[in-house]
Amino acid sequence: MPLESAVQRISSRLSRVGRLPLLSRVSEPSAHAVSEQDAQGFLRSQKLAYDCAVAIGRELQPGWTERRTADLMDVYLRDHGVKTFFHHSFAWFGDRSSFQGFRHYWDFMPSRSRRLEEGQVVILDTAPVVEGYAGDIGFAFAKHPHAELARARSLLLAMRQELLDLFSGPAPTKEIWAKVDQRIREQGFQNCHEKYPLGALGHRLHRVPLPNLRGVGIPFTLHAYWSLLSRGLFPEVLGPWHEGEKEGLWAIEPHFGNERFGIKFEEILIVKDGQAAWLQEDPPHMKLPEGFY
Amino acid sequence: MGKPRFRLYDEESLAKLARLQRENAWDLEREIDWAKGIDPLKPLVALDGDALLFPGASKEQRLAISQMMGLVIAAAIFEMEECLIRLRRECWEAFRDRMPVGPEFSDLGELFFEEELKHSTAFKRYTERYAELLGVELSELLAVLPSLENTRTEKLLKVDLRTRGQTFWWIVANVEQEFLRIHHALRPFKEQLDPLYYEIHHRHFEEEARHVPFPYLVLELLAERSPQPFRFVHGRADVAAAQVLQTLWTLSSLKRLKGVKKLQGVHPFFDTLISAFPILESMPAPQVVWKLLTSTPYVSSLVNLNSHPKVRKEAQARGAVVLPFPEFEGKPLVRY
Amino acid sequence: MSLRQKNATLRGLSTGWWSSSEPAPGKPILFFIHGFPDDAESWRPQFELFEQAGYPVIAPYLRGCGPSEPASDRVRYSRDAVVLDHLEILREECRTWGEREVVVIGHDIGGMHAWTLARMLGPRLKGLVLVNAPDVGQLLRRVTRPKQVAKSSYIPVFLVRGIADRWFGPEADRSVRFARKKGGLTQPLPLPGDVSSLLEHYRAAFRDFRRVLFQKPDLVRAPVLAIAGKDDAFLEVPTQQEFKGYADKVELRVLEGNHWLQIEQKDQVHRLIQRFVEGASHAS
Repeated sequence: MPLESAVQRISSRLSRVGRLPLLSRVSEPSAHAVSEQDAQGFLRSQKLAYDCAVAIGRELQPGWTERRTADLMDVYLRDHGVKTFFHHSFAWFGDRSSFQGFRHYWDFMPSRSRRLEEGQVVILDTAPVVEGYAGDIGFAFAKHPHAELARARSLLLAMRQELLDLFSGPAPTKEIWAKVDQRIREQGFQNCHEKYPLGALGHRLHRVPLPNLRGVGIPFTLHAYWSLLSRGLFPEVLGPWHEGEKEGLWAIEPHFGNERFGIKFEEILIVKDGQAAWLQEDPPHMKLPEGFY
Repeated sequence: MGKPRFRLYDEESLAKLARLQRENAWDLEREIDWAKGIDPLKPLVALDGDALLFPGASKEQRLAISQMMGLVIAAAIFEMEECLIRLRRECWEAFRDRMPVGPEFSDLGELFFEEELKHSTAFKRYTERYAELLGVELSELLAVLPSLENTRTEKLLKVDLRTRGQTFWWIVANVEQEFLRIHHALRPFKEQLDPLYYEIHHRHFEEEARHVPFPYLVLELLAERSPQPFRFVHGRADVAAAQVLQTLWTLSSLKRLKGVKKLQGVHPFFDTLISAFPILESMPAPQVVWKLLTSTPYVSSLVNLNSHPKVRKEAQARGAVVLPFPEFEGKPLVRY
Repeated sequence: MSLRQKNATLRGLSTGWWSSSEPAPGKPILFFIHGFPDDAESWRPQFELFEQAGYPVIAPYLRGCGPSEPASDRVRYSRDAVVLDHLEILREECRTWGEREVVVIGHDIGGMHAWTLARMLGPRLKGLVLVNAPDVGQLLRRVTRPKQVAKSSYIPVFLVRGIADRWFGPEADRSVRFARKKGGLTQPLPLPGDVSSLLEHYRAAFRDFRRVLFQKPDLVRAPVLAIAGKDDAFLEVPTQQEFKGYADKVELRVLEGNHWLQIEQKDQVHRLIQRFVEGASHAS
């Protein structure tokens, strides 16, 4: 098929960049083999990122803009010693949490004009780099009881378990993508993660080779672009046509919703010897903190 | 100069003044007895022995002169007050936002304009009814009475206000004093005068007495907060400018009275008035001007700052240049 | 009196503040933010009175002075970082007091932080009080007023690292006394010691100038009381027009006095704030 072969050609050429003499020294080891030390490093990054989302989420008030919220998340993380990011923080409110009307890359940027209204659903997403380990989280919540969101959350948490089964099973990655998509649609929701670049249900995360280099670029930094592009991009992003190994470390972010709101989580999944496990046992979406719905 | 009773940022005294104004405000429809109508056989204002500028005028002519002067005063009042309303944006709103103004002062300002509108409505309505009485259109009567709208004077005042000038408010300060003076002049002759006319003046006086501090507060604000070059120039020059403008406008307003000749034959009132004109025309022009500036009731006291020592004192205390005017001779008024 | 000084580690840095221990139920929190070259003590004449009247009061020490540890990373002095500190302090106190409305009160550069906090409190904000305290954007826009430019001539000196730090460092007492004298402070006020770190607040605000100048500030919808000194040596008296785009309802009060009105005109300021807090404001 012409598209597939084009993708393979591009991917192959991009991955050659990472193997160039000097640049290959900058590439980190493959995320396919994750040591215990690395797992702890990624976990620290995830925990800090979730702490940030919960702390800022707790302070969030009607009237805050998405931009302001995202900026404060970055400030929180910097105050905790984060010098660089895989991507800077995002905040999406209301129908923007399900990417309604998003057509271009920059539509995803936190809006300066969208303000939080009472009762709206919020998604906070951030990806700090802590001691070289990139984390990437997504946390959806409302500040008041929200029946529809609660129903969606039940599905999301069920999907969390199902993803473990799918990654532990024989299905290839593109089939996993299709099954998740089908599950979402069967429940009457829209698939929102298909709107991410390359329709990413997830992506690889790696250690950042130069963690003291401030993250230039918004919202994704040079670290992110390098990390993904130097490895051919397409094998690094779990989209609807992904082909490649399941083994190793993924940031998985199922995201669905309707015209009014979206819900997601983003966690690190490690597949080792055919067995999948979530890196963090107790992310906040498993047991919502007080004041979150 | 003693300590002023009202200071720009003294919220208590300003709030008290506003409260007093609100509590004692009169209602235009309910508290003036419009039903009593106008008595065409009664004078509107008391005259001096010379009937202003008509020595030797007959009894009938004195009545007509008095009635005409009453209408001139009414028109001058509502024209000036309407001018205030027309220039509200330039003379109040523009600098209220650009200068530090407390809420009590802001409140006082809003009340001031509300009441000025009420006063102008009252005097204009009276003039309208008088026009009906005389069998002329209001516009025909207004054509011979003082007018400020769209005149050169108003345009100059607008320009002055745009440069944070004080001329306008010095005129207001002077005119407020004059309104009080007019009422004091009319009061001893109350029973002789047209009751409705007197009642409107009396009501007007009640509220104008409380308006007196307001122009001085505005002047204080302008003096304190205008940018320096404007502050210096206007602070020195604007009292003199006010004197000049006021004089010129008053003289040009009186000139409009010549237009009464066009109304000959319309009503005996106009015929009687026209019959008195030769008395005025026989006087040399310089003598007429001198009398207007020094000894004509209701006119001299408007243009000659010497008739309002309080205004003069305030002006001098603020370092303004005050043009020397001849000594004011307040001539006694006589019973009709 | 039940005021106590508290301390907590906020995002890795020790931070101190004064707070009431036994506030009456139902009263809004009064959050006092000091300026330069002061510390939380500059609000004591006010917060003691309010505390005695049963108001829950909080008076933090800004990052870099008193028990609030200076930060090596300068971003900790930014308005965003300081507002996170203040939100955390509020959260900490509300654990005991319960959720309450907040009146934010700022003096001098504390006003800049007061504006930032006011914009983040949403419906919890009951009011904002500014005593001799314009927002950064308002001050920058006064560049067209020669008198303000002259009065603010010290700010460029503050922005250059190394010069003013010597004056307000360990030997700060003389400089602080000089500044206070110029600002008309005659009442006794304890000297705050080394306040050189407070200069970082000026520098952080300056680094943020792009956001200040080119982005519309968030409108504060709660009532605002702005109290200014007629003869303030450092600030021109504000106007209603300056608040357009900043706040919906502003009550502007000009008092006879200089820069430390909350101390020099203590009773008058207290009465104005009390009336404002009790809701009898004349906000336009």
